[in-house]
Amino acid sequence: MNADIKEEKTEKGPEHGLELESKAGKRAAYYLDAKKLQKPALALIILGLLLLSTAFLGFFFDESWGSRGGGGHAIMLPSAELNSQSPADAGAGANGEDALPVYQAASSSSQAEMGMADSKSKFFAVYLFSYVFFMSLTIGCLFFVILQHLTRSQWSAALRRIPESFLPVFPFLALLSLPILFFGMSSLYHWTDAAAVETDVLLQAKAPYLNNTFFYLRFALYMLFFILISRFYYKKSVAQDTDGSHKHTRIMQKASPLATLFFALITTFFSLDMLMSLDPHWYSTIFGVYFFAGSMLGALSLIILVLLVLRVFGWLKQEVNKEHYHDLGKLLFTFNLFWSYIAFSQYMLIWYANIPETTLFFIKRLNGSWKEISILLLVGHVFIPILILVSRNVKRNLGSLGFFAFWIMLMHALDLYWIIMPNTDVLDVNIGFSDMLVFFGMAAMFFGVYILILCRHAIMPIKDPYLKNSLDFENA
Amino acid sequence: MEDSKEQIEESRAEGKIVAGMAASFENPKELLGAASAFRKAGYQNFDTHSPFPIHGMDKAMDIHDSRLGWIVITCAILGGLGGYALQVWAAAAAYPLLISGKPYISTEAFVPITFELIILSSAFSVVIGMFMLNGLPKFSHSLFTHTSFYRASYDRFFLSVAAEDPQFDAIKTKSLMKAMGGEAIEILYDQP
Amino acid sequence: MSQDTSDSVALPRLVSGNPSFSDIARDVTAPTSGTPPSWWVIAFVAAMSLLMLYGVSVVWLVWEGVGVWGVSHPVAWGYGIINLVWWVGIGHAGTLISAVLFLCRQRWRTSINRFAEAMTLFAVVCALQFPALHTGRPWVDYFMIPVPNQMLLWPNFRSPLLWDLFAFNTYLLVSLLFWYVGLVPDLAVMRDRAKKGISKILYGVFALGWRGSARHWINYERAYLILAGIATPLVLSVHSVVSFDFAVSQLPGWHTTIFPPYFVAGAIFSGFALVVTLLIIAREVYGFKQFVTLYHIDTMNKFLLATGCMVGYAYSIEFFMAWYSGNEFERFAFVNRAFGPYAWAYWIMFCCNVFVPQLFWIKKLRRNIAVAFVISILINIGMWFERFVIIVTSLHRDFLPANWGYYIPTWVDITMYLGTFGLFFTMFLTFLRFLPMIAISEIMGIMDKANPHHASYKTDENATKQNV
Repeated sequence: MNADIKEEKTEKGPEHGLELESKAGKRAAYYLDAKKLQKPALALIILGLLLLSTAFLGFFFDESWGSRGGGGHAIMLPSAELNSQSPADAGAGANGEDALPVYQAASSSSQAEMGMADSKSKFFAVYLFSYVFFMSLTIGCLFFVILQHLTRSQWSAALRRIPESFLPVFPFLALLSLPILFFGMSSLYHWTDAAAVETDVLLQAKAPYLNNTFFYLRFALYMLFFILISRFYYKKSVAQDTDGSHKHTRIMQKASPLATLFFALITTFFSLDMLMSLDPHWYSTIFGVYFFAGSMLGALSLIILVLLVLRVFGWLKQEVNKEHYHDLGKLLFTFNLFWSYIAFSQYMLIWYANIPETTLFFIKRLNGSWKEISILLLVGHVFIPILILVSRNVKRNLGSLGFFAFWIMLMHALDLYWIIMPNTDVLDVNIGFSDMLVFFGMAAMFFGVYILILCRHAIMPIKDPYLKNSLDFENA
Repeated sequence: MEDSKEQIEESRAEGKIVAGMAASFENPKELLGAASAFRKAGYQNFDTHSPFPIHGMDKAMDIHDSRLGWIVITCAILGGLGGYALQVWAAAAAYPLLISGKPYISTEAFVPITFELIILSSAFSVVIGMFMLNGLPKFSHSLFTHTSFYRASYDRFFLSVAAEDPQFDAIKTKSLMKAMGGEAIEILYDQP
Repeated sequence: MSQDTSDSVALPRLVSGNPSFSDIARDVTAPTSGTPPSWWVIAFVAAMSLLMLYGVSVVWLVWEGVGVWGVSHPVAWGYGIINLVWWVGIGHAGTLISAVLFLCRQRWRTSINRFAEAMTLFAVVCALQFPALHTGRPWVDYFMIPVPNQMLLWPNFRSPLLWDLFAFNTYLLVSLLFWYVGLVPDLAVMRDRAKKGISKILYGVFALGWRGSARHWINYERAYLILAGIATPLVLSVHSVVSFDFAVSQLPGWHTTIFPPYFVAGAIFSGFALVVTLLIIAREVYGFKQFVTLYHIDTMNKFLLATGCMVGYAYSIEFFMAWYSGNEFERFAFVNRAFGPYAWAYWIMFCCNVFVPQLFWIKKLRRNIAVAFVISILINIGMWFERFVIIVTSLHRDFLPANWGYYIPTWVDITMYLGTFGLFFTMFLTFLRFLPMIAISEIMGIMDKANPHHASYKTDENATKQNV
C-alpha cells in the first residue's frame, strides 16, 4: 500500500537524478540523432504520398484495380421495407439469419442502381477509415497527456514525451482530411444527397444539423481546438526542457480540467459527424464515449509499441522499466474492459429494444461475412485481452505486453473498419490490395512526421519536476 | 543470557509447551533490520508482526508471492459457467417462456447475471481463500501469551521465532533479538 | 498551505501534524469509548423516531397493499423506484473510493474510505427496502430467487428487474466483504485496546485472531488488491443494471444507449456528495481535522465538479440526440421534460446538478467548508430529482393524449422515504459508536514513519553512526 519509494536499486542501472542532463555526455542519451533520421523520415512521408496517390489513381482510372464488391449507397433501405418488418422479424434478425432475405433483396437492387459509383466510394471509405484510425490514435494520445496533468501523475513523467510528440501531428492530420472534405463527401455521406433528402422525412428533420455548410464549419472548429490544445501541451512541456521551471507543470495542471471539458465535447461531436452520420438514420447517445474508449486503447497500444521500438534501439532502456510497462498494461487492460462495457451496453440496449432504425446498424453487421468480423471483435477485442491481460505476469513481461498492445491496436482498427466499411461493402468484407495501399500510405506518412517531431526535442521531459519520482517508481 | 534457558527448562518441567520467543521493536525500520538479520542467520520459521504491512518485508523475510490469484480465477470461471448454465437451463429447458420475440437462449440478456455471479464467486473466494491461506480464524495462539503483544496491532513491532525452527536456541535467539534492538523479549507458550 | 503557492508541484501531506502510531489509534478509537456525547444521543433518538415512522408506514403498506402508494395509470413507477435508484446511487461512492481510488494509488482516500464504505452498505440496505416491499407481499419475495419449488416455476432471466436482484445482492455482499476485510486489522486494534469483557470478546471474535503477521499481510494485501479489482467493474455494473431497467424499454426518454455510463456517473456524483455532507459533520463533531484536512475536502469537491460535468454531458447529449433522431416522440419526450408540467422538477435537477457544482471551479469555494456542505446537499436534492424526472416525466404523457396524467405522491410515499433516513442514520450512528470510522492501519501505513526507507530514518542512522 505504501509503494512509492524504491528500496533497492536492483536492475535499475545508474543512479538517475535531475543532475544528469548537466553532463554533456549523458544529455545525448535523450536526443535522437536528427541528422541520421531525417532522411528516412522524409522518405517515409514521400513513400506514403506515393502509395496514396497510386491507390487514388488506380481507383479512378482502372475499374479492375483491386477487388470490388458491394454497392455505394446500398445501406439505405427503402423505408417501406423497413416498416414491413414486424418487430418479431427484426428481433429474430438481430440474432439470426431470418431477416437476411429481405435485406439482401434490398441491397442487391440498390447495388444495381448505383452501378459504377462504388469505386469512388470504396476509395473514400478506406481513406476515411485510415484517416479516422490515425486521428483516433492522436486523440487518444492527447487525452493521455491531459489525464496525466489532471491527476498530477508522477509515474508517467519518464514516458510522457512519447505521446506528447504525437500532438504536433494534428495540423498534418487536418491537411489529410482535405480530400474527404473536398471530394469525398458525396460518396461517403448519404445526407449530402439532396434528392435522397427530399424523399426521406428523417433526413429532412436532421437537415439543420446534417448539411454541408454546418459540417465544414464544425469540422474546422474541431481541428482548431485539437490543434490549439495539443500545441499548448506540447509547447509547455518542451519549454520546460530548457528552463526547467515548475511553472510549466503548474499551468499545464491548471489548464487540464478545462482542456478535458473541451476535449470531451469535441471528440464526441467529431465521432458523431465523421462516423455516426455515415448511417444517418442511426443514432446512439453512447457513441461518443464508444469512440473515446477505442481511441484510448489505440493510443495506449501505440505508446507501448513506440516505447518498445525505441527500446530495441537502446533508447530509454533504464528510464522506462518494467514498472512503467506494468502500469501501461494496467491502463490498457482497464480501457479494454471499459470499451467492452460501452460496446456491450450499446449493443444490448439496441438489441433488446429492437427499434428498426437503430437495430439496422447491427443487422448489417451480423449478416454476410461481417458476422465473422463481429464474432472476431467479440472474441479478440473482449474475451482474449480480458482473460489474458488480467495476469500480472503478462503485463510485466515486455514480450507479451508488446504482443497484446499490437493485438489490441489491430482490434481497434478492426473496430473502426467494422463501423465504417459496412456502409460501402454492404454484404461482405472486401479487403483489396488497393485498400492496403491507402492504409499503409497513410501510416507511412503519419510515422514519418512523428519521427521528425521526435527528433526535434528530447525523448523524455528531462526537467520535469516529477521525473525523479517517475524513475524511482515501483508498483505495490 | 542463561536465564532464558533455565526458564525454558523450568517451564518444560512444569508441563508447559514452549512455542517460541518474541521481541518487541520500536519502529518499522528496526523490525525490518531484525527480520533480515534473522533470515541471514538461517532462521526460517520466524515471523514479524506489525500494525500495517511494511514495505520491503517480503524481501527481507523471503516470503514467496501470494497464491491467492489462482484460487480466485478458478472460482471466477466456475461462477461464470455455473451462472450461465443456470440461466440457459431455467429459460430454455425447465421453464421455456417466449418473451418479446427473444430466443429462449438469449445470451445478451444473460450477460448481466453471469457477470454478477462471476464477481460474487470471486469475491467470496478472495476472502475465504485469504483467511484459509492465513490459517485464520485462530483465536488461541502462543503469541497472545506475550505480555505486551496487544500493542502489535497499533504501536509496536514484533518479531517471533517458532520453537520448531532448527536454529531456535534459547540463548542465541535471545541475544540476536537483543542485538537488533529487541525489547520485552519473552518466551511463548502454547495456550492450553 | 504550501501547495497553494503558484509553482509548487509537490503533493500535500495527508495527515497534518506528526502524530505517533499510538496517538492515531487513540484518537480514532476515542469516539467508541466512554459514554456517548449528548449530540449522539439526541441524533440517535431522532433517527430511531424516523425509523419508527418507517415501521408504521411499512405496516400500513403491507396491511392495505401497494394501492396506498401514489402510483397509478399512467405513472406506474413512482417514489418506490426513485428512492431505490437514489439510495443505491449513493451507495456507489464507498466502493468507488475504496476500490477505484485504491487502484489509482490515490492515498488520500485512506482518511475517508472506511466511512464511505459504511455509508455504502447502509445506503444499499435502504435501497433494498423498496424492491422488497413493492411486491406487497414481502413474505413471498423468495419467488424471485431461482430455487427449485413445488410450482416448478423459474424466474424470467431476460427481465432486467431480475438482473437487479442479482446486482443489488451481489453488491451488498461484496461491499460487506470488502468493508469487513478492511476492518479486520482495526478490529484487532479494538480488541487489543478494549478493557471490558464483553466488548473485548466481541471485537476479538470478529478480529478472527488477527496478529499482524507479515506472512498474513502479504495474502491480505493481495486479497485487498483483487477485491478492489473486482469491486471496480461491480460498481460500474450495478448502476448499469439499474439503468437497464429503463433503457431496454422502447419508451422515449428511457431508451437511450448512454444510460449505463450516465447512471454510473450520476451515482458517483450523489454518493460523493453525501460523503462530503457526512464527512464535514463528522469532522466538525469529532475534531478529526488532522486526518480529514482541507485538501481532502478540496479533492472531493473536484470529483463533484468532474462528475457534475459528466452528468451535464449526458443531459445535453440526450437532449441533442432526441432532436437528432428525428423521431417526433423522442423529441416530444425531451421538450415535455424541460417545458411541460414537470418543468419545475427538470430545472431543479439541472440547476442543482449542473450549474451549482460549477462554483467548484473556484478554489476558494472548494476549500470553504460551509459552501461545500450546502452544495453537497443541493446535489443530492438534484440527484433525487434526476430520477424523478427520468421516471415520472417519461411516463406521464404516453403516446396517446388519452393516457396523460399527473403523478402526485401519497403520505405513505413520503413517510416511507423519510423513514429510510431513519433506517440509514440509525445504522450509521451505531457504526460511529462501535467501530473506528477511519481505517487505522491504513492511515498508519501512509505516514512517513511507516516507511522504513523514509529519509527521517536515514538521518537517525547517520546520527547514530556519528555517535559511534
